[in-house]
Amino acid sequence: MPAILLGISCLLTTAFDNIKECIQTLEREGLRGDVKVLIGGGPVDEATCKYMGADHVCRNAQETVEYSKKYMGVK
Amino acid sequence: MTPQEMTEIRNKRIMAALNMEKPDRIPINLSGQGFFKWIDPKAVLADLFRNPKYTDELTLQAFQLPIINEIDSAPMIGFTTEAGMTAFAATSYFAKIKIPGRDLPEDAIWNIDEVGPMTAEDYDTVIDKGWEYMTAELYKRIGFDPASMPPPDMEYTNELNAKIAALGKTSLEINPFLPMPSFEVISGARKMPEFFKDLRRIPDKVKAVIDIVDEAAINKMVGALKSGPPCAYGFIGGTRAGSDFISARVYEKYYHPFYHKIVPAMREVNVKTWFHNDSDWSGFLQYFTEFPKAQCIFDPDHLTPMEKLKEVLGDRMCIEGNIPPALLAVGTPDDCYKAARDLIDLMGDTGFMMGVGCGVPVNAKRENVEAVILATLGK
Repeated sequence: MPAILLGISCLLTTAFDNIKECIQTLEREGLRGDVKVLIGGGPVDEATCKYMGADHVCRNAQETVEYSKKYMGVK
Repeated sequence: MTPQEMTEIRNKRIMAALNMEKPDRIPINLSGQGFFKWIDPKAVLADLFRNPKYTDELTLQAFQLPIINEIDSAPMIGFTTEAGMTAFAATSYFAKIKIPGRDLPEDAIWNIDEVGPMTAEDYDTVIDKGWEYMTAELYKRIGFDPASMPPPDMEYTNELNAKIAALGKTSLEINPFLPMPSFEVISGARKMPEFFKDLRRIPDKVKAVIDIVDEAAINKMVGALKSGPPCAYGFIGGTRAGSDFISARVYEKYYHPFYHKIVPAMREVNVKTWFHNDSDWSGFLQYFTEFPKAQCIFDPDHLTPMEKLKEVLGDRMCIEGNIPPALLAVGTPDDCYKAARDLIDLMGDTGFMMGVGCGVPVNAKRENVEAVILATLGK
């Protein structure tokens, strides 16, 4: 079964370009449409989400679980 | 105006903010380790360690650039040496340090490399033999010998101090002897996963050890404050205790007692407490209302919302912050200008200093930092 969600955590602003590259690789390989990309970690915000081409910013672990359950229809 | 006169204006400006009085303008406190790249774009973070005199010189030049020269705080230079960072990691967390160019790629940020030399049995050792004994033992286990550290190069330090003084920046001294909260120290000594399991497996022993470490750390700090040069405030870092990371029960029992004891001890020697607290602390801010008005400064990273800080602590202490670091790295000057103006509209001009969540990132764009400064100056 292909992945539905991909969570990427980041602690440094210098990792932003690597994450952007990772998401672009998903696109190049034709995998991007099937997977929701979530990002999180200390320096990440909406501006970062837009820059990287991710789908959603999760502020903490709890919010990530809530978002993922809702997205996957888990009660 | 002479640099000395400028320094006096800046000192007054910052002290007014810290004392919750209206300054002549909002102080601008922007610190970071990557300013040198604006002068030499080919320089890399490994140069901080390989050629620190060169990066110090470039950082001094960056602080003299138009607009950037309006920053009130002094540049962060003169301390990023291999020996200095080794001692920092060892004495803060009983950890090692990974350095760009040696352990990491050329342009990576230095990393703390946790070792976890303390065992579960060592809680009893601390209880039986004290924290000083354990500290020496843990240093041995990670191969750190404080006596073998090279002495500071006083000639170079004096040279740098003269250059910083010539910039007319604030000369308010920060105390360099402040201990980390004991919760953080033991977490580093054990390594975070083991420490958090200890909190469930042996909570009473953890509490007993944290109490012992608190007392030793605070006594040592008071001694250093009394015998050292006068300073305006001391800086305490907090990184492992946000309210989205630990529960209120854990915070109350293990973490907050350190703050509860250290703030009055600092106040007694006329030193303010600067809380540099990473992650989201919004659920714990009410604990900080116990401290006297204008005794503390709260410096969050961008995860603690400024609206919440203003609501809970806005009439108690100066708040410094809180431009998201990501915005400086990947945003536009317009985004940064707007973020700074929005902050000023929210916080007002009393008891507030313009700053960046945690610090200016090493890949901050110069034009974005300039936009924050211009917005603060109302230009």
